[in-house]
Amino acid sequence: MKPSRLIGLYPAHWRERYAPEFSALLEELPVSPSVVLDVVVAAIGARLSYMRRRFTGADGNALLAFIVMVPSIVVVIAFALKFKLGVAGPFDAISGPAQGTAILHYYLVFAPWLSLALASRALVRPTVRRSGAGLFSIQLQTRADPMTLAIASVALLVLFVLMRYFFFQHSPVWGSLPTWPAPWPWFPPPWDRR
Amino acid sequence: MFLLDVPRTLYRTSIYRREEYLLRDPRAPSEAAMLILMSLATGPKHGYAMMTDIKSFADTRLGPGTLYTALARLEEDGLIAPVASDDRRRPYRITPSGLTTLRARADSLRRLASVATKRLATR
Repeated sequence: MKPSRLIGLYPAHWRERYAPEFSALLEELPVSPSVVLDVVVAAIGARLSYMRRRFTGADGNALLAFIVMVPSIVVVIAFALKFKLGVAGPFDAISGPAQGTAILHYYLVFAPWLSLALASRALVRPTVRRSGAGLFSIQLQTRADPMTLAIASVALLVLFVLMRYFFFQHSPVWGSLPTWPAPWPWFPPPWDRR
Repeated sequence: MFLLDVPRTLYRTSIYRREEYLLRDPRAPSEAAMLILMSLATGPKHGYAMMTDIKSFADTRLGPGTLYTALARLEEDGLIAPVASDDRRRPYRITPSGLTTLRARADSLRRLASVATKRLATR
């Protein structure tokens, strides 16, 4: 077997970048079990690293933060279409099946918070180090990843719209926060308030 | 002044100080990566040339998979960069950031070697 065929074991994005030069290198080397084993182990490592990075790295956090928030974004767009532009279709399509589904409602309200937490986790990394006897230092490592910043901004926007709706639109006096034991700001669901 | 210490500390611990961050971080260059940086310190080389050079000065044979794993990571970290070439065998060169990392690691190893030599002398 030609060792260059082992390149197929690597992830696609790796092959796109390195396949020509890597196959050139493999052609120059004598075929031996150690070379084959080294390439196989490295290919498995590349695949694992790619998967880990996809789901735990900054991009993974941004992606997860966005996926978590998608239902809330859909609801906010449906609100805007119905109450600002008078297009009721999408809102009614969502609110019909969701009538009385409290768990979905809670999810929609808390999802942007969760998204924000996930995005923040990628943007700021605090570390606590012991710097002497009884002394600890807290360090904040920052990362201005554009995609994560964009997701965090969208999460803040969605939160603003939802909170504005829940806190202000349905409070007795515009601009005043409901006081305990007034209705929870996130209850009843908006589709029960029509 | 405390107020000035806050931005200073944030900057000092920020990953924008990439070289220092790489030295502290668990993602700091591996042994294979350091051998590659040492090899490229004398000039741009392609994969096979790096392997033979490393074999000559470190008596270590890096496998092709190990070599390219380390190369990909060094490139991602901005410590090396590819050099334009018509050949399929693409050469790489060390970047200024890579030189800084190599110098810092060499200093660190020199200090460790010095401590080891002194302590061995007492026995």
